[in-house]
Amino acid sequence: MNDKKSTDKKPADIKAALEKFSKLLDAKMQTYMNACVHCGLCADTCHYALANPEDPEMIPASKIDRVTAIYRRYHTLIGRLLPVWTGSRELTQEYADKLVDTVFGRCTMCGRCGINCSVGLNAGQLIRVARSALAEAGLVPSSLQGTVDNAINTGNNMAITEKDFIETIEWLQDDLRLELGDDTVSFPLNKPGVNVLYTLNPREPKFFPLSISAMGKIFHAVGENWTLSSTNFDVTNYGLFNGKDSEAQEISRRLIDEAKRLGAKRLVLAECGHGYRATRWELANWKGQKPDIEVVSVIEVMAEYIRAGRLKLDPSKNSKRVTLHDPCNLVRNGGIIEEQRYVLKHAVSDFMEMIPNRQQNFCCGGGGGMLAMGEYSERRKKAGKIKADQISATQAKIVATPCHNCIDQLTELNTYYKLGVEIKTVGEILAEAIVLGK
Amino acid sequence: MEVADFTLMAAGLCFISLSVMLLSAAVKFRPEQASPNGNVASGIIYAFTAGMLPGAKESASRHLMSYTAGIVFHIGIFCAFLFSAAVYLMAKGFIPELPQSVRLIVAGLIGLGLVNGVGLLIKRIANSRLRFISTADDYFSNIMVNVFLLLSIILAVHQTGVIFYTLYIFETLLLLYIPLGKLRHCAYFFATRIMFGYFYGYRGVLPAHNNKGQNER
Repeated sequence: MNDKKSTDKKPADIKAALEKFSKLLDAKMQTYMNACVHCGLCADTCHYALANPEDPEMIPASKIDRVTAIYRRYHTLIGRLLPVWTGSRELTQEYADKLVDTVFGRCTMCGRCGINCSVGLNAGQLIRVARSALAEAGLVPSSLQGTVDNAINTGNNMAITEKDFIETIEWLQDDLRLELGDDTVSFPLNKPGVNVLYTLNPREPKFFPLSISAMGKIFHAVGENWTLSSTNFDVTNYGLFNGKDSEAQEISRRLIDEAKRLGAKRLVLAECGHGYRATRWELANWKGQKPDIEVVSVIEVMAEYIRAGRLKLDPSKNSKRVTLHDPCNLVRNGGIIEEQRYVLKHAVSDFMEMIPNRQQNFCCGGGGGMLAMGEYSERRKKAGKIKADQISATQAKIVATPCHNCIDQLTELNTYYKLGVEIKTVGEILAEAIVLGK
Repeated sequence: MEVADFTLMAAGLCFISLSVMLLSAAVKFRPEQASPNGNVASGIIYAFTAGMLPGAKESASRHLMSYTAGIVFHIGIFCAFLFSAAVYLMAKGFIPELPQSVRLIVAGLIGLGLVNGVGLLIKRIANSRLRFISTADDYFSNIMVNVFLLLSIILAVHQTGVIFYTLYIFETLLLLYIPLGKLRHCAYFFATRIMFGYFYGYRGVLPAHNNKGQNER
């Protein structure tokens, strides 16, 4: 296991961290800070704790305690007068370093412990408060912060230039026209007055262009009036993970503004768990007001197309067994639970659920910004054992998941645990089942 | 004033302290701003009903013994507080004496609570993972409550002046301690369940099939 320290060695602004921590103590956080009864029953619910039974620091209650110990020290009577009695801790540089390792390196903020907790404590949200406080102290792991900086400075987290993006999209358009023998196939860029402004994970144009083609085919099949933006196309928002609300807000707000600038009726978010959560749910909380444009997941849109009979499908075109990985931020934290199943059941002939699934799904281990933080990669892969075992148990040949972070993690797990499966987006599977023609 | 009057004052102080804590949190409530995808009321009702059952959470289903022990422990605690209130009212002449049969039933319920409370304490001491996450407050809180239950049982089956005074002095100290440490979860538990139900209900995650998006567009 990689125990290398994740922080750059510079003095932390502890005072700023504590001030931020206090500011974030709203009703929910104050409740959660006082809720844990140390029953320890959360241990079995966490993929990190299950994959590391010998390490009690992986138990959610232990991780939470690192955060609540600070609360008790600075915000409770006994915590101030007799810290040892309630395990209260002063936020020193040394403690802050340990806290970084805990909240960035031992938790994906998936929320599975919270949904199973005896009292209902949402640990993921509490962990994010700690990340926000540490961010104020300048302690976000540089690997994670770099991803956010790319997004803020270049418009996407992979720093793809507009020129490269346009070239890639034009190439994909030509490719799909050839494949379908139809010159009317179009991947519009910056088209005004559309029904749908579609967004992408920057990893798609870089490494997974087939998922873009798949969506192009779907939109073409239903005759959708859609467009991409050549400048603001990034659905991801690692500001959700670095704890900096101002940066997170900026990243999501750009998508909303772009949709409004183009006069799009809907902002459709690509298959991305945290991106959906950030823009659909959290942006309104960061901003203090809800966006005045409809924000939906492309999964919902695909399900709509099928319900409305706008897609002719042949499930026998996807004859291999398919299972579904539920992204935590889309499902447990986002409420998109049945739509992806609905789509898959119409697009494949052999669908097998993982157990558990839906709200009780296990995190793949790739969330929380883990994929950006190479210093925790060994822990991440080890924690993915639970998901690897789930996949093996289904005997599926294909794992579908509506999230590119999950795809990246599952792709690594596929190699690491020799699963021998293909990993695909739901859109790719749906596109393969489409029957085009008169 | 009698000793039990001080206990009543301590109960009032405890109630006020916990209320102030909860209210000071409640005034900082920030509602969700995005358009809802579910129903908050359903979520909160779920949080306090089906959401507490073993089928809804692995902390219960995977640990039925601990889950049951916790329930029985808390029933015993509830009975003990109710019984001490009843004895206080009897001493003041506000209610008639409880028949011996009722006292024995109460003693039995509190006794079951005590057995499970001691069991949970032994588990906390014996289990290395639980020891890792436990503080002095955790052990002390459990022991205090267990002693309270024990004194309540003795009072129920053999009420003497010494036991009466001992119980009420101890209960006074317990009530004064509740807002200070982990025992304040007796109030925060309800607030946490409300937050749980609010979050998952609003986003259409729980209760299951409470997702508007499934049926509408």
